[in-house]
Amino acid sequence: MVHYNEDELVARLLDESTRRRAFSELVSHFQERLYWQIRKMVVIHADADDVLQNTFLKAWRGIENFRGDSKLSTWLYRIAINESISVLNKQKQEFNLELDNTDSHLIVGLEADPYFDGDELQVLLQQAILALPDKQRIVFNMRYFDEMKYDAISEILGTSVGALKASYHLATKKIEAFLNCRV
Amino acid sequence: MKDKIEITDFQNRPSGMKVPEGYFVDFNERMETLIDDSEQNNNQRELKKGLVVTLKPWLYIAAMVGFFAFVFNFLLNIDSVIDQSTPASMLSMADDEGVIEDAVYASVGEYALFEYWYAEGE
Repeated sequence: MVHYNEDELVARLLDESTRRRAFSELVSHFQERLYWQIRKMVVIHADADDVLQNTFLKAWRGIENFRGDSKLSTWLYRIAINESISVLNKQKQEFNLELDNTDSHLIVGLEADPYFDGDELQVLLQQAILALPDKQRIVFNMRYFDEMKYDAISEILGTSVGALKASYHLATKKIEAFLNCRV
Repeated sequence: MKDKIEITDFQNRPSGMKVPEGYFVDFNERMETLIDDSEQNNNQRELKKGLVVTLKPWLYIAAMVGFFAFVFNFLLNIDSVIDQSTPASMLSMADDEGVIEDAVYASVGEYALFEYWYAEGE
């Protein structure tokens, strides 16, 4: 694996002559982490693929304006989350769902997705996660699946650590309640 | 099986979500192609935008010159324009007093006409 040095990579990204090669390294380094974060949000592989491509395209177009105030990962996560939310909102409009409604269409999509082979319990867990409001779902995914620290999540989402802890606690209680009333 | 499910029961269990084989291996290459296409489109857009930006002031100047030339020409030839817009038949009719009198009488009521003649002493 290529050695990753963020400061050096940022310097090469800001230099036009080395930008292309550096960006390719950036894609290689972050593609998998970002993909799984996006996939947990949009659930279906085809949508996750589109969102990941758009995330990197937006990053490429905006790299000149990257001032290094935050870490590259924070910046990329922010773009990815905004893109995912925008795709989910578009889908909700297409399916005529209220913006805070359960993403029932995603469960249907997940079960039909050829790149999902989870058992009944895994589908149930996904149902429970998808019943959460968008923000709680993002916090839950980052903390539970990616085991990210609250400080890092706070930097990405621009929410205080206290609010994130409350959000995560609420999300876990809701998921457990959902699972226990269906099993 | 436990009576109550807890969220920790799912930890370290696979999510069931998969990706196509070699997805992450090919992704960077696909991204490169996408960036190339995006750059090409961007360059074409910039070129078009550049052309419009360059030509815009000249088009405005040409339109203004054309407009002033038209107004100037119009003001210079205004007399002949008025002459041409009045048909000759109308002018000859205006000379014929009988025609005008008939036209006036036709538009005046009978009572008003008698009052007029009375005042004139006819």
